[in-house]
Amino acid sequence: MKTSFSPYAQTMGFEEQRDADGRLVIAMPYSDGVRGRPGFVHGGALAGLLETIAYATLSEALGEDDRPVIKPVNVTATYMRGAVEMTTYARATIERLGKRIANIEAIAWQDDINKPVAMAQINVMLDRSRG
Amino acid sequence: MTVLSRILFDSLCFTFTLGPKRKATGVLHRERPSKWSELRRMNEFPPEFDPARLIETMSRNGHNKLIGTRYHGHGEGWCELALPYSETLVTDIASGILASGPIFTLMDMATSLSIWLKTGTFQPQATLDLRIDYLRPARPGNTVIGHGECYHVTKSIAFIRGHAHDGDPDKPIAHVAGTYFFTASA
Repeated sequence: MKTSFSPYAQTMGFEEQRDADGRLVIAMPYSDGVRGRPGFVHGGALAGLLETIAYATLSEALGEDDRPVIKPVNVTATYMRGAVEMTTYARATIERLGKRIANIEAIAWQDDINKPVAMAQINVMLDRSRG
Repeated sequence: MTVLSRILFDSLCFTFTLGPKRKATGVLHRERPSKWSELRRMNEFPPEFDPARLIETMSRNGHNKLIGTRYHGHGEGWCELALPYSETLVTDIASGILASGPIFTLMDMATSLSIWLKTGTFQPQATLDLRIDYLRPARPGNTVIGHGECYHVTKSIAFIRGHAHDGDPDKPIAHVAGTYFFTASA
Protein backbone atom coordinates (compact mmCIF):
# COMPACT_ATOMS: atom_id res chain seq x y z
CA MET A 1 0.00 0.00 0.00
CA LYS A 2 1.24 3.45 -0.78
CA THR A 3 2.02 5.45 2.33
CA SER A 4 0.51 8.54 0.82
CA PHE A 5 -2.85 6.79 0.55
CA SER A 6 -3.01 5.85 4.22
CA PRO A 7 -6.12 6.97 6.12
CA TYR A 8 -3.95 9.64 7.74
CA ALA A 9 -2.82 10.92 4.31
CA GLN A 10 -6.44 11.02 3.16
CA THR A 11 -7.51 12.85 6.30
CA MET A 12 -4.80 15.43 5.60
CA GLY A 13 -5.83 15.79 1.94
CA PHE A 14 -2.42 14.80 0.54
CA GLU A 15 -2.14 14.45 -3.25
CA GLU A 16 0.57 12.56 -5.13
CA GLN A 17 2.20 14.41 -8.01
CA ARG A 18 5.32 14.27 -10.20
CA ASP A 19 7.72 17.12 -10.86
CA ALA A 20 9.30 17.84 -14.28
CA ASP A 21 12.03 15.26 -13.55
CA GLY A 22 9.48 12.60 -12.66
CA ARG A 23 10.25 12.78 -8.97
CA LEU A 24 7.53 12.07 -6.48
CA VAL A 25 6.01 15.17 -4.90
CA ILE A 26 3.21 15.33 -2.35
CA ALA A 27 0.96 18.38 -2.32
CA MET A 28 -0.91 19.46 0.79
CA PRO A 29 -3.68 21.90 -0.19
CA TYR A 30 -4.41 24.57 2.40
CA SER A 31 -7.52 23.92 4.46
CA ASP A 32 -8.82 24.68 7.92
CA GLY A 33 -7.68 21.19 8.91
CA VAL A 34 -3.98 22.04 8.50
CA ARG A 35 -4.18 25.49 10.06
CA GLY A 36 -2.20 26.39 13.16
CA ARG A 37 -2.48 30.01 14.15
CA PRO A 38 -4.80 31.76 11.70
CA GLY A 39 -3.18 32.35 8.35
CA PHE A 40 -0.43 29.77 8.85
CA VAL A 41 0.01 26.03 8.38
CA HIS A 42 0.48 24.04 11.59
CA GLY A 43 4.02 22.79 12.26
CA GLY A 44 2.63 19.35 13.02
CA ALA A 45 0.89 19.22 9.64
CA LEU A 46 4.18 20.15 7.94
CA ALA A 47 6.01 17.43 9.87
CA GLY A 48 3.31 14.94 8.86
CA LEU A 49 3.75 15.96 5.21
CA LEU A 50 7.55 15.63 5.41
CA GLU A 51 7.29 12.19 7.02
CA THR A 52 4.75 11.02 4.46
CA ILE A 53 6.85 12.07 1.44
CA ALA A 54 9.88 10.41 3.05
CA TYR A 55 8.10 7.07 3.48
CA ALA A 56 6.49 7.28 0.02
CA THR A 57 9.84 8.04 -1.66
CA LEU A 58 11.48 5.20 0.25
CA SER A 59 8.68 2.81 -0.63
CA GLU A 60 9.11 3.70 -4.31
CA ALA A 61 12.90 3.22 -4.16
CA LEU A 62 12.49 -0.21 -2.57
CA GLY A 63 10.31 -1.35 -5.46
CA GLU A 64 7.46 -3.81 -5.66
CA ASP A 65 9.46 -6.92 -4.76
CA ASP A 66 11.08 -5.60 -1.62
CA ARG A 67 8.43 -4.76 0.97
CA PRO A 68 10.04 -4.49 4.42
CA VAL A 69 8.01 -2.96 7.23
CA ILE A 70 9.08 0.69 7.44
CA LYS A 71 9.47 1.68 11.09
CA PRO A 72 10.11 5.33 11.94
CA VAL A 73 13.06 5.78 14.31
CA ASN A 74 13.24 9.54 14.55
CA VAL A 75 12.37 12.76 12.80
CA THR A 76 14.08 16.13 13.23
CA ALA A 77 12.01 18.91 11.73
CA THR A 78 13.40 22.40 11.23
CA TYR A 79 11.11 25.30 10.46
CA MET A 80 12.53 28.05 8.28
CA ARG A 81 9.61 30.23 7.25
CA GLY A 82 5.97 30.59 8.14
CA ALA A 83 3.92 28.49 5.73
CA VAL A 84 0.98 30.62 4.62
CA GLU A 85 -2.49 29.91 3.21
CA MET A 86 -1.51 28.12 0.02
CA THR A 87 -0.63 24.63 -1.13
CA THR A 88 2.55 23.21 0.39
CA TYR A 89 4.68 20.76 -1.61
CA ALA A 90 7.23 18.28 -0.37
CA ARG A 91 9.83 15.99 -1.87
CA ALA A 92 12.42 13.73 -0.33
CA THR A 93 15.92 12.54 -1.08
CA ILE A 94 17.18 9.22 0.19
CA GLU A 95 20.70 9.93 1.42
CA ARG A 96 21.44 6.30 2.14
CA LEU A 97 19.43 3.15 1.67
CA GLY A 98 20.96 0.32 3.67
CA LYS A 99 19.77 -3.16 4.50
CA ARG A 100 18.31 -2.19 7.86
CA ILE A 101 18.47 1.61 8.03
CA ALA A 102 17.54 4.37 5.60
CA ASN A 103 18.44 8.04 6.02
CA ILE A 104 16.13 10.46 4.27
CA GLU A 105 15.98 14.22 3.92
CA ALA A 106 12.71 15.94 3.04
CA ILE A 107 11.92 19.55 2.23
CA ALA A 108 8.65 21.44 2.01
CA TRP A 109 8.05 24.62 0.04
CA GLN A 110 5.19 26.71 -1.27
CA ASP A 111 5.67 29.05 -4.23
CA ASP A 112 9.44 28.71 -4.57
CA ILE A 113 11.38 25.50 -4.03
CA ASN A 114 14.47 27.61 -3.26
CA LYS A 115 12.68 29.09 -0.27
CA PRO A 116 11.75 26.04 1.79
CA VAL A 117 9.32 26.48 4.67
CA ALA A 118 10.53 23.41 6.54
CA MET A 119 12.85 20.46 6.24
CA ALA A 120 13.27 17.20 8.08
CA GLN A 121 15.88 14.56 8.58
CA ILE A 122 14.23 11.18 8.92
CA ASN A 123 15.81 7.89 9.97
CA VAL A 124 13.86 4.70 9.53
CA MET A 125 14.38 1.03 10.18
CA LEU A 126 13.61 -1.56 7.51
CA ASP A 127 12.24 -4.67 9.14
CA ARG A 128 12.36 -7.74 6.89
CA SER A 129 11.86 -10.25 9.70
CA ARG A 130 8.19 -10.68 8.87
CA GLY A 131 8.86 -11.45 5.23
CA MET B 1 4.68 27.17 13.10
CA THR B 2 3.11 26.66 16.45
CA VAL B 3 -0.47 25.88 17.20
CA LEU B 4 -1.54 29.19 18.62
CA SER B 5 -4.99 30.39 17.93
CA ARG B 6 -4.20 33.91 16.82
CA ILE B 7 -7.72 35.26 17.24
CA LEU B 8 -7.85 34.09 20.82
CA PHE B 9 -4.30 35.26 21.37
CA ASP B 10 -5.02 38.73 20.04
CA SER B 11 -8.21 39.06 22.02
CA LEU B 12 -6.37 38.06 25.18
CA CYS B 13 -3.58 40.57 24.50
CA PHE B 14 -6.26 43.16 23.82
CA THR B 15 -7.87 42.45 27.16
CA PHE B 16 -4.54 42.89 28.92
CA THR B 17 -3.69 46.12 27.20
CA LEU B 18 -7.06 47.69 27.91
CA GLY B 19 -7.72 46.04 31.26
CA PRO B 20 -6.93 47.64 34.61
CA LYS B 21 -3.19 48.33 34.70
CA ARG B 22 -1.41 46.18 37.24
CA LYS B 23 0.64 47.93 39.86
CA ALA B 24 4.27 47.54 38.98
CA THR B 25 6.17 45.68 41.67
CA GLY B 26 9.55 46.72 43.01
CA VAL B 27 11.15 44.06 40.86
CA LEU B 28 9.65 45.50 37.74
CA HIS B 29 10.80 49.01 38.69
CA ARG B 30 14.38 47.88 38.97
CA GLU B 31 14.29 46.34 35.53
CA ARG B 32 15.95 48.26 32.78
CA PRO B 33 13.16 49.49 30.57
CA SER B 34 13.36 47.67 27.28
CA LYS B 35 11.09 46.49 24.52
CA TRP B 36 11.44 42.98 25.91
CA SER B 37 10.28 43.67 29.45
CA GLU B 38 7.48 45.89 28.16
CA LEU B 39 6.34 43.07 25.92
CA ARG B 40 6.49 40.58 28.75
CA ARG B 41 4.37 42.78 31.00
CA MET B 42 1.89 43.40 28.24
CA ASN B 43 1.47 39.69 27.60
CA GLU B 44 1.23 38.54 31.22
CA PHE B 45 -1.61 36.17 32.12
CA PRO B 46 -4.60 37.84 33.78
CA PRO B 47 -5.29 36.50 37.29
CA GLU B 48 -8.42 34.68 36.14
CA PHE B 49 -6.64 32.91 33.27
CA ASP B 50 -7.57 29.25 32.95
CA PRO B 51 -5.14 27.28 30.73
CA ALA B 52 -7.56 24.34 30.56
CA ARG B 53 -10.20 26.51 28.91
CA LEU B 54 -7.72 28.04 26.48
CA ILE B 55 -6.46 24.60 25.44
CA GLU B 56 -9.99 23.29 24.98
CA THR B 57 -10.76 26.29 22.76
CA MET B 58 -7.60 25.75 20.72
CA SER B 59 -8.49 22.08 20.33
CA ARG B 60 -11.73 23.05 18.63
CA ASN B 61 -9.90 24.85 15.81
CA GLY B 62 -7.81 24.11 12.75
CA HIS B 63 -5.34 21.25 12.69
CA ASN B 64 -5.84 20.36 16.37
CA LYS B 65 -9.53 19.86 15.68
CA LEU B 66 -8.78 17.61 12.69
CA ILE B 67 -6.39 15.49 14.76
CA GLY B 68 -8.63 15.61 17.85
CA THR B 69 -6.23 16.76 20.58
CA ARG B 70 -7.80 17.47 23.98
CA TYR B 71 -6.75 19.01 27.28
CA HIS B 72 -5.43 16.51 29.84
CA GLY B 73 -3.56 18.47 32.52
CA HIS B 74 -1.15 21.28 33.24
CA GLY B 75 1.14 22.80 35.87
CA GLU B 76 3.94 25.31 36.11
CA GLY B 77 6.00 24.89 32.96
CA TRP B 78 4.26 21.75 31.75
CA CYS B 79 1.18 20.74 29.85
CA GLU B 80 -0.47 17.43 28.98
CA LEU B 81 -2.74 16.79 26.03
CA ALA B 82 -4.64 13.70 24.97
CA LEU B 83 -4.96 12.29 21.47
CA PRO B 84 -7.90 9.84 21.37
CA TYR B 85 -7.43 6.94 18.93
CA SER B 86 -9.08 7.43 15.55
CA GLU B 87 -9.19 5.23 12.47
CA THR B 88 -8.83 8.34 10.32
CA LEU B 89 -5.29 8.82 11.65
CA VAL B 90 -3.80 5.38 11.08
CA THR B 91 -0.87 4.77 8.78
CA ASP B 92 -1.91 1.27 7.73
CA ILE B 93 -5.43 -0.14 7.84
CA ALA B 94 -4.25 -3.72 8.45
CA SER B 95 -2.21 -2.97 11.57
CA GLY B 96 -4.36 -0.07 12.80
CA ILE B 97 -1.21 1.69 14.00
CA LEU B 98 -1.46 5.45 14.43
CA ALA B 99 0.59 7.50 11.94
CA SER B 100 3.51 9.38 13.43
CA GLY B 101 2.29 12.75 12.10
CA PRO B 102 -0.54 13.17 14.66
CA ILE B 103 1.88 12.30 17.49
CA PHE B 104 4.24 14.98 16.19
CA THR B 105 1.34 17.49 16.21
CA LEU B 106 0.36 16.44 19.75
CA MET B 107 3.90 16.98 21.00
CA ASP B 108 4.30 20.26 19.13
CA MET B 109 1.16 21.61 20.79
CA ALA B 110 1.97 20.27 24.28
CA THR B 111 5.52 21.62 24.25
CA SER B 112 4.56 25.02 22.81
CA LEU B 113 1.89 25.48 25.49
CA SER B 114 4.39 24.52 28.19
CA ILE B 115 6.36 27.66 27.28
CA TRP B 116 3.39 29.91 28.08
CA LEU B 117 2.94 28.04 31.34
CA LYS B 118 6.64 28.48 32.13
CA THR B 119 6.81 32.22 31.43
CA GLY B 120 3.30 33.15 32.50
CA THR B 121 2.97 35.22 29.35
CA PHE B 122 1.46 34.86 25.89
CA GLN B 123 4.51 35.74 23.88
CA PRO B 124 4.12 34.89 20.21
CA GLN B 125 6.46 32.06 19.34
CA ALA B 126 7.33 29.74 16.48
CA THR B 127 8.90 26.29 16.40
CA LEU B 128 12.56 26.42 15.41
CA ASP B 129 13.13 22.69 15.48
CA LEU B 130 11.59 19.63 17.01
CA ARG B 131 13.11 16.17 17.16
CA ILE B 132 11.01 13.15 17.97
CA ASP B 133 12.23 9.66 18.76
CA TYR B 134 9.65 6.95 18.23
CA LEU B 135 10.42 4.33 20.88
CA ARG B 136 7.59 2.02 19.84
CA PRO B 137 4.23 2.32 18.10
CA ALA B 138 1.17 3.32 20.12
CA ARG B 139 -1.17 0.38 20.69
CA PRO B 140 -4.18 0.57 18.36
CA GLY B 141 -7.25 1.80 20.22
CA ASN B 142 -5.30 3.53 22.98
CA THR B 143 -5.42 7.25 23.69
CA VAL B 144 -1.98 8.83 23.49
CA ILE B 145 -1.03 11.29 26.22
CA GLY B 146 1.58 13.91 25.32
CA HIS B 147 3.56 15.59 28.10
CA GLY B 148 5.40 18.80 27.16
CA GLU B 149 7.80 20.63 29.44
CA CYS B 150 9.67 23.91 29.05
CA TYR B 151 12.90 23.61 31.05
CA HIS B 152 14.69 26.82 30.09
CA VAL B 153 13.99 30.16 28.47
CA THR B 154 16.25 32.95 27.32
CA LYS B 155 15.27 36.32 25.82
CA SER B 156 14.69 34.78 22.41
CA ILE B 157 14.69 30.98 22.76
CA ALA B 158 12.63 28.46 24.74
CA PHE B 159 14.04 24.97 25.28
CA ILE B 160 11.56 22.14 25.56
CA ARG B 161 11.38 18.40 26.02
CA GLY B 162 8.58 15.93 26.36
CA HIS B 163 7.35 12.39 26.07
CA ALA B 164 4.25 10.51 25.03
CA HIS B 165 2.69 7.32 26.37
CA ASP B 166 -0.39 5.25 25.60
CA GLY B 167 -1.59 4.43 29.09
CA ASP B 168 1.46 3.74 31.25
CA PRO B 169 3.62 6.83 31.86
CA ASP B 170 6.54 4.52 32.69
CA LYS B 171 6.45 3.03 29.20
CA PRO B 172 6.80 5.98 26.83
CA ILE B 173 6.14 5.59 23.12
CA ALA B 174 8.06 8.72 22.10
CA HIS B 175 10.47 11.37 23.36
CA VAL B 176 10.87 14.87 21.97
CA ALA B 177 13.36 17.71 22.32
CA GLY B 178 13.38 21.04 20.59
CA THR B 179 13.51 24.81 20.59
CA TYR B 180 11.10 27.64 19.91
CA PHE B 181 11.93 31.28 19.33
CA PHE B 182 9.95 34.30 20.44
CA THR B 183 8.94 35.99 17.22
CA ALA B 184 8.46 39.43 18.80
CA SER B 185 11.54 39.52 21.06
CA ALA B 186 13.82 42.54 20.78
